[in-house]
Amino acid sequence: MQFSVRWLQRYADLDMPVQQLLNGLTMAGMAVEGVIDVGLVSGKIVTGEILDIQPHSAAKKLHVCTVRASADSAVPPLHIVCGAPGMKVGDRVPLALPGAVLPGGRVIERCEIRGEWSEGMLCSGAEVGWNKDGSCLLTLDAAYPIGEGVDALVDVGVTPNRPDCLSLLGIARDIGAYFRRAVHPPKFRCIETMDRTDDFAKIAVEDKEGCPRYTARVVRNVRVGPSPVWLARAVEAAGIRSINNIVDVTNFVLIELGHPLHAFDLDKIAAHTVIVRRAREGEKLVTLDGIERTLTPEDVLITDPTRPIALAGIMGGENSEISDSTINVLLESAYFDPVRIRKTRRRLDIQTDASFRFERGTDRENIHVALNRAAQLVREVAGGEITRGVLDVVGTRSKPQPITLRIQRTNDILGADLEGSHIADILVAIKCEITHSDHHQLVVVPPSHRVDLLREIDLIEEIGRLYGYEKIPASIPYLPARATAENPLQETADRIGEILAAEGLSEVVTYSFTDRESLQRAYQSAEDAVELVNPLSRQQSVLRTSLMVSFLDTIAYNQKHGNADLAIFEVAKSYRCVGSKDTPYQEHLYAMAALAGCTPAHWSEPPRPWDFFDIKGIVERVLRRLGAAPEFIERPRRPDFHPGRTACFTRAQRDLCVFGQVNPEVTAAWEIRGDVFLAEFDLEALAPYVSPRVGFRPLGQYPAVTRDLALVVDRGIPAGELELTLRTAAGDLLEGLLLFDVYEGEKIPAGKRSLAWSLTLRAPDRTLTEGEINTLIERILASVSARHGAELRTL
Amino acid sequence: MASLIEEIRTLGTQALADIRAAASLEQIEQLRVAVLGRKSRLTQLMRELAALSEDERRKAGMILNEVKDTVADELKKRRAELESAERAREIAGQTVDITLPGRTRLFGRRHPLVQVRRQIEEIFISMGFSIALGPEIENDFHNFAALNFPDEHPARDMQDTFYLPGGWLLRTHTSPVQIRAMLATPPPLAVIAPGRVYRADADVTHSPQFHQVEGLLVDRRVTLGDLKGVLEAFAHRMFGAQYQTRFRPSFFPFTEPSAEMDIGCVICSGVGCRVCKGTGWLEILGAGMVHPAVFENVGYDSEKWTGFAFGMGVERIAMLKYGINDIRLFFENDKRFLEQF
Repeated sequence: MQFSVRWLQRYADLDMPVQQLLNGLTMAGMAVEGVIDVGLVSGKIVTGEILDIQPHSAAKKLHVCTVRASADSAVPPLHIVCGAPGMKVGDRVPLALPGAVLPGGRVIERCEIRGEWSEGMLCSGAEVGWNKDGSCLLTLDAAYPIGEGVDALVDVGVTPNRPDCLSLLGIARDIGAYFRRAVHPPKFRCIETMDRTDDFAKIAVEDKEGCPRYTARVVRNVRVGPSPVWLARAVEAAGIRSINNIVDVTNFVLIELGHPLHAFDLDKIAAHTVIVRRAREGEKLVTLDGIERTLTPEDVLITDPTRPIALAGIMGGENSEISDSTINVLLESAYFDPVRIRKTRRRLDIQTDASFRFERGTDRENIHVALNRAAQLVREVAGGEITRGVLDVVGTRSKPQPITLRIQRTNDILGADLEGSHIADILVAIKCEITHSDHHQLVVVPPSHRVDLLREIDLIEEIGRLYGYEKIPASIPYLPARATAENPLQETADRIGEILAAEGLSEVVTYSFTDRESLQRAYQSAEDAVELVNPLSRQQSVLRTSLMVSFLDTIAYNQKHGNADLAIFEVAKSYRCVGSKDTPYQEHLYAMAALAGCTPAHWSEPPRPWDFFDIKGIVERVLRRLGAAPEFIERPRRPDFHPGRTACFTRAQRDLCVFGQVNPEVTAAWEIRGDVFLAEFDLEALAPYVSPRVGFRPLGQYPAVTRDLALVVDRGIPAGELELTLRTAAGDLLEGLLLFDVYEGEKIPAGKRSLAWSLTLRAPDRTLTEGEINTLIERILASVSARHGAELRTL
Repeated sequence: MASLIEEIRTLGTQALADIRAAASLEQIEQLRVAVLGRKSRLTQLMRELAALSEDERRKAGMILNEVKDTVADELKKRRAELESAERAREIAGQTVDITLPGRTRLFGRRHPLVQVRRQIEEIFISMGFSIALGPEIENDFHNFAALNFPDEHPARDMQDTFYLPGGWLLRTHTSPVQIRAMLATPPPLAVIAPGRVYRADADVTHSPQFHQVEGLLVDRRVTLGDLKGVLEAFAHRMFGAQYQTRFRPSFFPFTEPSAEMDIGCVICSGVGCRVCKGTGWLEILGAGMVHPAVFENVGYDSEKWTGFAFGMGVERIAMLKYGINDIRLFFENDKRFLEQF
């Protein structure tokens, strides 16, 4: 909500320094979100009066103006060079003095313009941020005192529970209560003629649920035209475009009193009869913005006997709009049901100043005041006669209900120690009525504009707010001590993150969103992807079923930005539709690690591309450090991975980790250069096997013996199988087994390869003898020979 | 005999001189072979001793052994000297350019959002809160209705919601975890709920996906003063005790009274700058006393129990802490960004 400080000051005694006022607004709960300072804060933009205009001697389009810039007539006027068209002697306009900073950041200085000195700049509305008009100077009315800072336009955040603060009077009332200053609602008289209003117009309300109250007045023989300066400036100060005197009046009353009004051209209403009813299914109305709206019975519709003329509480219709030729005006002031208005405006996706207020709840007692105020102002700015009487259809009445407020409860919640009388003072300041009070409690009736005050806690908040949160002493509570239930999944997630970082991988945080095409291109399941009903973009239209797409995006993004070498990980979820009725969606926690590009470059050795065994090493160390030993290693059937360079560690038939090279077909689709190696840890499969601690084994006290065996086997025999046989045959004495060489080539027969192992043997209770060792080695060789046809390689 | 002894001594003297003059380990080895080797004159003389009388043999033998030992000692000494000199030469040739870069190894880092999240968690855990988690895909009850967001109430516009088919949604805050925790556990309760949340909003300071840490304390006689105390302590530990804090009235459907906490601007120290929009204050979190309607919705007795709740955006805290001006940087994962933390 944007408003002018000078206008606000008309409704309450708020003569404190502007900064103090702004701070008060924030501390009262209306956070100041922006200030367009038109000199009121800085004093550098003042209201000036043009006393004389002379042509510039050297430039045809420029003038030299004499401008009074002080309330004191003894202070000499200033010479200002100005090129604006249309200015007149006697105009009051903003004058930016040297040192002024305009909203765009422009700094004004005393300067020479083609031989004439200018001691400042006269400004347009666009230059000071008042409106969008840069074509001429911003004229001000006589309420702006010469020589003083012009004004400040303040934007405050009004929370959804406080529709009563969506007006100048509302803000004045609240900040007035905060500073305990007097509040002055506008005083006016609505002067009527002797003609009866119901001779000129009729109203009927059929939809009493959507429109509990509808009132109207008629103003005859108006002259539609531009608004007077004060009115145009007033609506512009609230960020609303000035349209004509009639529309501006309805907008002004909205700003001043917070009640939305609508003005109809009475002569465009058939039979001069307004009927409020539900719209019919498929009924159409072209609203003021020129858009044809298709309606449903959910909508409250303003009609005449022949057609719809306005979308109640949201926007008028084009067919009954005020135009230059309008003579007779029907002013509407009504109360519309907040939920109905909200449903309609959400369905049609339009938000207006009117709907914004109606859906939050307007003051039912304000309906007549706003209507009379508008009628009086129309008469004032557009002439015409206000006919006698208000057309008023009352459906349901609703009055604020009394609330019991306990003094002890108030202090218990706030952590304060307030007396009952202090609490009563605060409530009176916000216009509550106290109908009963004793030592323990008050009975409070809130004012009709406070639609948010419904129960005791609402009043307690008001006490805290106006007493001041800053006065409530901070304390430290004793927290209820309770052992936390362990969460193995969270534990696993935290630990795997630490381990992967220790492995040298950097953590990324990617979006949960993707699109179906990306999932398909990465051979991920797309049919069961969770779809957003209202995505922001096509690229973020479904939830990922695998982290792989996010990783491919990240790698491709980095390659495009010159970061070819990446070692990254993330611990995050993927999502799927599972079709069950109660839990249609499933979230699954994964950790993903990826290597792209090369090992770190160094002058001492050339970098080499990452390969399968780099990612496998990471996976092995992660599993070992988690204490989650896999049972088997398998080749998984995963179309998203390279068929020959992918493996999977499993346990109890569940995949703990699939790792290997991403299918080059997939990386090509992302235009990623080089191979990408990836590991996908299924944390939910892993969690049950993660041991909190790795067990300790006593260190052997007797010497270890190392024997190297180079075994020649058929190429097709997996090293893992040979290793298993070696371990089984070696038994408990085998302390360490290291594969230190893999050889294929001329020195051994074709179709064979040599796997060279280093065996470390140690007994816990004795020194192994040569004989014992030789027997064991014989046994091992016999075993690998029998199972795999392995022969000891002879050099 | 005399001439024999004389020859032994001469050989010895000569050998010692040669050894001292030797300039390389090869020469030393050659001298060893030449002086003490099987074919050397001394070895030959040793054999010739056999022809002497018992008495002469013993005497000459003693001298011969003495010369051999002396020569052997000298060889050893000279060898050690030469070896040492050789090492010195080697060392002299081993000077590296100490300004060349050291060997690199990958250095892994946690993501800044994770670092900040963990820091927030640790502060509250140290105060006695424990961690509670919940799903990201939620229903209307947990995300809105139970939190006192009435259906069709404008408060729902405070959070632009991503909807999923079947009336489900992506949680807009981690507050549903509070509801789940209260439904699962009788009071008292002190939990924080970290996690990923979603809102349909995207610009320099808003991301459709971001992270929150929310907290909830329910006990007998919890007050707004307690809320202030706990959150001030948090702010001072997170940003430093030099920053002031202030509490402003605000509105959240699930808390009443509601507040927002500001800290003195960490960029300009309160003088006023672009980041704090000239106010000298930065909003860092929202909080309030748990609304009685929320207690009623989870079956807690709102007369017996009171509580406070608070919530903060991890991105916001991280942006202030590190001076990051664009929220999208967190999710682009540019290596040059990640490597700064």
